[in-house]
This record gives sequence, C-alpha cells and structure tokens, in this order.
Amino acid sequence: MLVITRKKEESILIGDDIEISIVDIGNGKVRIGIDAPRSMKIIRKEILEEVKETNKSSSLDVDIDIDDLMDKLL
Amino acid sequence: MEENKNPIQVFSFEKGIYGFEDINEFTIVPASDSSKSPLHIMTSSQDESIRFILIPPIYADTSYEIDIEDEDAQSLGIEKPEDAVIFSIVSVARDRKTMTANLKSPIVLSLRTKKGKQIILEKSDYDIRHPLKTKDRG
Repeated sequence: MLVITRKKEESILIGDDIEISIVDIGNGKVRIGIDAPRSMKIIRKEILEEVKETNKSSSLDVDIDIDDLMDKLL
Repeated sequence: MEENKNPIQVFSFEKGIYGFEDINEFTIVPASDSSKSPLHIMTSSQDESIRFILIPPIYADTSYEIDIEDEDAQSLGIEKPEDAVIFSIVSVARDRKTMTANLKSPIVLSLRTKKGKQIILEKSDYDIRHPLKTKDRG
C-alpha cells in the first residue's frame, strides 16, 4: 500500500479522472473530497462489510419453515 | 393460453451478491403457490443450500423509493421502470420470532434481460435491518 502524507487542501490524483482532496482535518477525523466519474462507485467500506455480513446471516437454514414465516408476517 | 402461475425465473448475477460474489445465477420463485404471498425464495443455481427470502420493500416501508443509477440500469438492461423489479433480502432472527428486511441494499432485477444485482444506496437513510411487522410482535 502506498502511504502519502497530505496537508489540508492538498490532493492526490489517481489515474486521469480521480482526484481525492483533503478538505479538513481535526478531532480525529478527515474530511475527504472525491472527484470521480459518476460510474465509479464510492462506498464507505464499513457499509459494504455490514451488507456482506447481513447477507451471510440472511442465508437460510436448510430446515427453515417458510410457511411458518409467512404466517408470522402481517 | 394459460399463464403459468408459478414461473421459475433464472437470473444471472454477474458479480453475485455481496458476500457471495461467486454465485452468478439465482432462481427466484414465489415462496408459495398463493398469489397473495409477497415472499419469494432466491436460490443459488450452483448450490441449493444457499437461499434467501425476498420481500418487496414496499411491504416494509410503504413510501420506499429508490433511484437506480444510470450505470446500474445500463448494466442490467433496464430501459423503463416496468423492466425493473426490486426485492429486499429478509433476515430471520435465530429465535425465528423477528424478521428484518435489508432496505439499504436491495436486489434489482431486470425482467427484460433476466439480469440481477445487489446495489447499495450509499446516500439513503434506509436501514440494512429494517424490522418487519410480525404477528408475534403485535
């Protein structure tokens, strides 16, 4: 992994179309501005991880009774 | 001509779903013969032990509304709203008493191309675990 030190208002270019700039720093947080083509998906990693975990825990047990579940739903 | 009331529908998922990136084909069928049932079952064509319950998100939140991004619409071959069907994956608690629906990252299907993908609504406030009303909870 490449590690670069940047100051507030400095930025990094990735390829031809992506610019990541440091908007603000402080209180243990960094505000980042991202300029990228609309087709580039930008997702906070913890949300992606949570979706993965939720999917895994949603995969049904073999013995689950679907009719019973449907009865429970209003 | 009689319409098949319980059609087996196979959808290709080029990138699988999150956490199941290798599963590239799912069969999606109504959970029961009753046409009233909103629930569907999504089963991996490769491994039948991998299956999920799906519910139309409108059952969880009657004002549910999403904006499918152009790239997603394009890759799925969705040209008009009628081409798309949206489902949420249902999660059943271990005690089987409570259920939640993932409104934050729905499954989007294209009826026209039979392609599907799971999208993440990064900017929305919808919950990954939105509680579903059940009889037990009153």
